[in-house]
Amino acid sequence: MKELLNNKPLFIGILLVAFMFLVAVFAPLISVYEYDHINSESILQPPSVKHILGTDQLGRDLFSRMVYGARISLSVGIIAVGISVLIGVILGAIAGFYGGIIDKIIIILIDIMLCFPVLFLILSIVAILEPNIYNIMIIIGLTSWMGQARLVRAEILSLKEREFILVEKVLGASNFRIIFSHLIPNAMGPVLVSAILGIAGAILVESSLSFLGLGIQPPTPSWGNILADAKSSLGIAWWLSVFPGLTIFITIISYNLVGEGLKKYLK
Amino acid sequence: MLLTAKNLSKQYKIPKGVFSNEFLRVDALCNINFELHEGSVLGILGESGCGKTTLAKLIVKLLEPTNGKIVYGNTVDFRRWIQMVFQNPFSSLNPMMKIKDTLKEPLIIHRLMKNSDAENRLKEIIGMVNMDYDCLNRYPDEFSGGQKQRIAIARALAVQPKVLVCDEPTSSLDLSVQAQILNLFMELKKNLGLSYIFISHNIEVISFIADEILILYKGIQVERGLSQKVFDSPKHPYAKILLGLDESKLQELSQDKSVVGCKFCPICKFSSQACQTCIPKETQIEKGHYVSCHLYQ
Amino acid sequence: MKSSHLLEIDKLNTKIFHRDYTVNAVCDLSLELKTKEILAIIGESGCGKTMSMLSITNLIPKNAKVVSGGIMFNSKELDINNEKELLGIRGSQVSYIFQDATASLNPIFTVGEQIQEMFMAHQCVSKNRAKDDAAEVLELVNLKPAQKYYNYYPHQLSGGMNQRAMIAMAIASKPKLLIADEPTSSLDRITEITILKLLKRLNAELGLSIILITHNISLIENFADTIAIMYAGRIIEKGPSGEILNSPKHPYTEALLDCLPKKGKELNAIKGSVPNLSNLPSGCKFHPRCPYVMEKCLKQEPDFIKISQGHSVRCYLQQKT
Repeated sequence: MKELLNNKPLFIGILLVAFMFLVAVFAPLISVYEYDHINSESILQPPSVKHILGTDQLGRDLFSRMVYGARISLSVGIIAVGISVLIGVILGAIAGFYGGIIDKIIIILIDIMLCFPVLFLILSIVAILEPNIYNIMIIIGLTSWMGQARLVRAEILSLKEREFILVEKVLGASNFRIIFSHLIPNAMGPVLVSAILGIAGAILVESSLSFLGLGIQPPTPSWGNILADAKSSLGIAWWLSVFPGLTIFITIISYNLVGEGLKKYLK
Repeated sequence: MLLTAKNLSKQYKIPKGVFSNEFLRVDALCNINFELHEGSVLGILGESGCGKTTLAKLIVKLLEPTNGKIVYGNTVDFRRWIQMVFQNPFSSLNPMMKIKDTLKEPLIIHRLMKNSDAENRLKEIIGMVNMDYDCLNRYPDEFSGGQKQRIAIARALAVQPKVLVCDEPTSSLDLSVQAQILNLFMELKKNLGLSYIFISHNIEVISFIADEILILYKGIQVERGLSQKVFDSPKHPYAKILLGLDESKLQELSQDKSVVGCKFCPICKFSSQACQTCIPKETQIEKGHYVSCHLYQ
Repeated sequence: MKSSHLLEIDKLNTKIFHRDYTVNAVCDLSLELKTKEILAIIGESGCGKTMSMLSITNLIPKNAKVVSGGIMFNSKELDINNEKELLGIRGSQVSYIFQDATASLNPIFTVGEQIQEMFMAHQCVSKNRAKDDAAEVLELVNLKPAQKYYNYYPHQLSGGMNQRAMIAMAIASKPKLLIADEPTSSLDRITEITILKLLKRLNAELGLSIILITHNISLIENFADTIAIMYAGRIIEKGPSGEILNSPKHPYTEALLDCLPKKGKELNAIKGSVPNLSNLPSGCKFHPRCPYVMEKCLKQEPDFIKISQGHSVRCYLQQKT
């Protein structure tokens, strides 16, 4: 624990992640205005005491929209990664443990999925389906499990021959027990790091989708669609693009700091 | 007879190259025969590469033999009748599980415990290896090598086995710790009526603990018999060198030449034509003493 | 200072500094080694044997420090803090070999190439000359024919052969002292005997002094001239090997020898366990486990008491009052 606090980049990363998390959770309490409260008298106001981050073309308070946007981004990030970890860990564990033809099939599946340019795959699917938050979470989850699977498979291939696993076989444990009670918990180190970095990736994908208009639909705010709206006022209202952009940037960096920082300890 | 091995053989197929479809056949074990009597310790002595770990895995069914078989005298579930203690105490305990959970594993797998009973059972088990029950709530990395090995032994004993296969259990321990563990093994054998198959490359350890011994060389069984008889007068040329009764210089074999005939022939000073072509069969020297060597056929 | 001593260590103290605690790895260690002598340092894990030998040329980890003590090598005083001086000695006058030879060798170069590199680095000779020298030293360590073994990679050779290659590398610079830290612990008995025989032959033919660190007592009698027994960072008995093994004077030495399993003999394990080096008992460090413990053993650590020529022991039992 002490070591954790002494590692400055990791510490800063954790603080930022925690901060963003609290903002998302307490969104209704922090935001002064409703995120869709239109006020035609305060259109395109620069940051002031009344509106800390300024207002947009419809007079909506940017700060309140950003705070609700945090909720969206974080929930998409976490749930999408949760789905990808679930699929990746199970497939990776089965491939690593059983080997043989099962392993070969799963590897081929991983390779096929990796061949697709993921963003275009997501765009195609979203274009067909309705772009709502649940679909987005599921789609991102279903297209980003491959990294997890590979990591878990690699860990399990080496753990499989360790003596404490051989002991379980000799004790008479079932394969299910060996995989889920012993192998997977010991393989979770690298997966945790990958998951944290994956959250950053998922947030970026969601922001990109929303920016392109294929993600979260207005009036629900997402950092991506706020940026999309800011396109038209690029020269006039710098705050509309700078703040969302900066926030995405800082959020991604914070997850990266945590993920990279934890790498050392989870080896 | 608790356990009988009959013509036990294990061959591995290793691909010749990364892209090759051809296989190299490696004889890890060839024609192994032995018996384990109730209440006795069978010592398996051999240097690295002799196949002793493969033999251990065959005995506990972690591997299947290519030829031959092992006949077991168990009347209960196999996994409750025979257990194994491994060499490396550092890797035989799950680093993420507390000691009590590690010890509960065999009990849960074999449904040997009611939840209300758990604590007492665990105290009983850890007491058998002379450790305090306050260790139950700790993790493996808080213990020394010798203590970890005791925990591993306790785990093996939790299912109340009759046979324990010990694969070099003291090889990575200091001399004084080894002495404590060996004494523990003797105590447990006496108190619980256990039988051991004890594998080691350490001659002193085998001489101390084994009633009968089996000497392996590159997968073949060169000599077997009552410990007293084999140690006092070894007959096989390899056994004589190993047990220090032959001072002739032994140059190391430079490569594993695939040898037809006796595997020891390339470096044996008594080798003859027969040795090069023919694998010697096991012959009896006297009651309880067998050797596989052309010199005695 | 006796001119026949190659190495003299006087009250060496090495500490390892952790965040919350300090470990006294080596405590007031003194020993002398003559030219052409073979000394075996025997002790169990954590007794400080490796640390003490690494301290001589300051090869200790970053968080460790030699806090005091004098070292005389080849009639010259060694300054532990003078890295330049030590660089001139490491590998050329004092060589080391360690336990896992296969791991100490670079897997992408052949064994011969690595030995050749040693010659080029220390003797400053041409590449071709170094190649010949490497072949010569391979023959010396019995890896014959040298041409064949020169071209092998470490993974193609057994542990024993790799250890011979390491020895070849270590003697390339014609050192005066070879420190071997558990070189045979992971090897089989027969291989171990051949390696020890090789070292003994090199000692006779090249006049190489050897310090062998080991925890395997059984083969030492025919190999070493003198033995030093270490416990809890200190030498507690030292003397000619025959005397130490056949009539040990320190209770720990006696108990340790008793721990050797022998057919038909009861095995007397030493009760208790090796003390934690960061939390040592008072007085004589062995007193909690000693069957002959007296009151004064708890109060103060005994000094060396001379038993006979070259044989001394740190134990109050030997004190003639």
